[in-house]
Amino acid sequence: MILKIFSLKFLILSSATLLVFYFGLFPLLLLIWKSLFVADSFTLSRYYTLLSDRGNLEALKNTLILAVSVVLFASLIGITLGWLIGRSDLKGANKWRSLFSLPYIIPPYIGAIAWIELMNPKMGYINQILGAKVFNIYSMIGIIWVEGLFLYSFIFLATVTALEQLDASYEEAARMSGASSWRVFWDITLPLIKPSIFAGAILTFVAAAASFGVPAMIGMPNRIHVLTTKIYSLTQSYEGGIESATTLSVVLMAIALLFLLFSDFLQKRKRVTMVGGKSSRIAKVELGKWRIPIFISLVLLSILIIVLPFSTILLTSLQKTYGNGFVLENLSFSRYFHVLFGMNKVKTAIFNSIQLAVLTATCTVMLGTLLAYIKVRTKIYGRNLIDTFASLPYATPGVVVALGLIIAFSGGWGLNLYNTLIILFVAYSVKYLSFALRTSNAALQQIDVSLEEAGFMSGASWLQVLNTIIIPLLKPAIVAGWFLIFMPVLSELTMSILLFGPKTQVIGTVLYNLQSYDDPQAAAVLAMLIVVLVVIANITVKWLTKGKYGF
Amino acid sequence: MVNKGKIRVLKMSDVTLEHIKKAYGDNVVVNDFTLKVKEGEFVSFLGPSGCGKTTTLRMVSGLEQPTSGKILLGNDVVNDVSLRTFIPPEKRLIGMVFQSYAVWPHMTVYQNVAYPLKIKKVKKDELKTRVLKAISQVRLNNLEKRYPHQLSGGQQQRVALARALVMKPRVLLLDEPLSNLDAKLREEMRVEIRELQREIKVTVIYVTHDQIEALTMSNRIVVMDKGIIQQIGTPEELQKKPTNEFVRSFLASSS
Repeated sequence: MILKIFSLKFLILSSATLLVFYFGLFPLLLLIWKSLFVADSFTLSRYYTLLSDRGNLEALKNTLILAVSVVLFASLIGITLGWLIGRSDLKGANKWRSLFSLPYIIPPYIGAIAWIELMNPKMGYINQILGAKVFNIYSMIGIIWVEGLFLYSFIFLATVTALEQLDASYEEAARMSGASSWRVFWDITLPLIKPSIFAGAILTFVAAAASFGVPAMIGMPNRIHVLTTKIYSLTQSYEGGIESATTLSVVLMAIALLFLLFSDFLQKRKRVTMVGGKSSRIAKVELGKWRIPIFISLVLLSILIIVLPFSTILLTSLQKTYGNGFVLENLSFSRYFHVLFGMNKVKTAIFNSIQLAVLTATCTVMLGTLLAYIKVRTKIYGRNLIDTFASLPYATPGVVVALGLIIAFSGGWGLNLYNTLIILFVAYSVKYLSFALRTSNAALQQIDVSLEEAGFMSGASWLQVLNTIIIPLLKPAIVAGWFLIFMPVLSELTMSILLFGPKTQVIGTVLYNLQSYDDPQAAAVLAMLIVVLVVIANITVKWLTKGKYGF
Repeated sequence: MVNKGKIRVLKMSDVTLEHIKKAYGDNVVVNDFTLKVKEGEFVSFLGPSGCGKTTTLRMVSGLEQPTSGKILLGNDVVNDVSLRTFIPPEKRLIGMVFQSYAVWPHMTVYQNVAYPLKIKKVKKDELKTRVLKAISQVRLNNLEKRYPHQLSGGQQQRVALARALVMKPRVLLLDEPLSNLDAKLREEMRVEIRELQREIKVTVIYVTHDQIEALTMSNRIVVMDKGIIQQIGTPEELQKKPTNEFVRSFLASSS
């Protein structure tokens, strides 16, 4: 009996590991191999060629400038907001928190669309109002601006979460030692949450370096390239482009992985015991006379980050004649019917995206939960390997993952998935499996083993225990994990742009093409669709899990 | 009027609580709590979890404020709800040891213990003498440069104690300080805390759910249940003449 249970779990684990290896890891290894071996012999010549090209160097430099600037800009907003909402006696902190978390769940390219409408040199609304070409969004600063206004949410949430998990008695002990609330913040709170903020900053760095949508929409029209857009253009270009793209991909992957490994290393080294537990008590800092100025600043910031971009997209999508202004006669929902029900490629794309999102979310959550269980509850040899395998494609920039899949599954190594929906499904699954794994992992660790053991003692088999005890207890985490994957897949652009075929357009790729080439108003309609769907999904998660997950 | 003035008379260290009530909405967690802890006395709050003992202690510290009632340290009113007088915790000169110790993980033993004196801007030489004295009082000599994660639970406990004592507090508050230690260490620390208190003659309020701790350490014990004082008395009085069935059975479960 015991042997049978063991072998069933082992079978699941080993086949899952093989799957993740084949679809997630093998394509990445192939990329590295291809960049280092020409005609089966080792050489660095590809890298020399690459680095002698001025355009490539420029893209590398831009990527680093972008990532560093975004981290600085995002930290400024994220840490300030995080502290105000997590530790001060600000009124309505929870509402502010939900509001400022919004950019976390909406793809940044939506912001690019909005800020292009607002600040393009020819007819940007702000330039029109000012009566001069004051702002030009098509610049490095434009890219940094848009990304910073979205990616601050990483650092913001890292700060708030760290503050929530910080045992309040550390701060209370300082107050009992005679420290004022400001002293407590500088001496105790800040040093203790610094590692979490740092980890958030690294994530932001990597996200900015890996971003595609924003630099593609804002940078490429003005020939400003970063590594991701360079890789994309190379794949679309002349013969031999794929080789250069491959080598550049390895460079980009190395940057991302090195920073994440470094962050991981620091986290492990600095593992101070932060006894959690009674975190319901929070030492609030009184704002006093700053209350009103701070409130006004928060209102202004929320207008800048949220109200302005989203109302811009809404108004753009509602205009009957582009450029005729926002008078009531010129506004109508008629374009929505035309775009969503009249344009065939849009209809197909929406159908494809929803189908892919449901399929990916369902499969990865099932697999992720099963693997998390095996990892947390068994002592099977190699159980930690799956974690590494699953998190690698997640940490790797999407452009790189997609390129790896193209090279691996165009027929050369058994499978030919080129231009199929399956290759999109594979890409999304390997990219987001670690979401499901992590959510279920965290939830499982909260469930005491004795609950399961009591099930076994009542005579239930492993599958019965899984079905009747573990899965019901894990339900909130499973639901949250599902939506956590559903949402980004629905609007995914970075990998899809490389992988889609004539019949496999998705929402992200159609939106990108409409925005870049022919119809920015139709793009605005699709952007509104994404915002609405994502917000509804978020409210659903919050409602289904009784506020435990969601923002 | 919110009084944020300094406490004038430092000597007097008796604690008076008058008709203290604490409620969260309709949920009353402490009701009509009146007690006078004399200078140099060791008083325990004893009761099951959720009886309101920790909440009462936190109101003495100033980390929580009562819904109604009055608290005095010596002759100074630190909290009077009807007059809206409230002296914040950092101005009360009260030492406190937390259940989780709350020894700051980013500071060494020395830095932890020195912190209250640094806040008070005590001069360098005096600071060093006092910190080293406090460290040796809790028998942590030679561990000054260690970080908390390099210490055992019992040692962290001592750091917390030294940190609370170094500023010569008017009152020492201990919130279930031994509950995270194993049985043998608990017994040792019981004796040690008691001896230390006699030596430096500090007023102590000690919160516990353990009858043995309360009976062996205290001058007087306040037995609480459901936010209400059941009985106040010396260990002997409580054992010989429990006023009700709750006190009798709660104390009996020990022997």
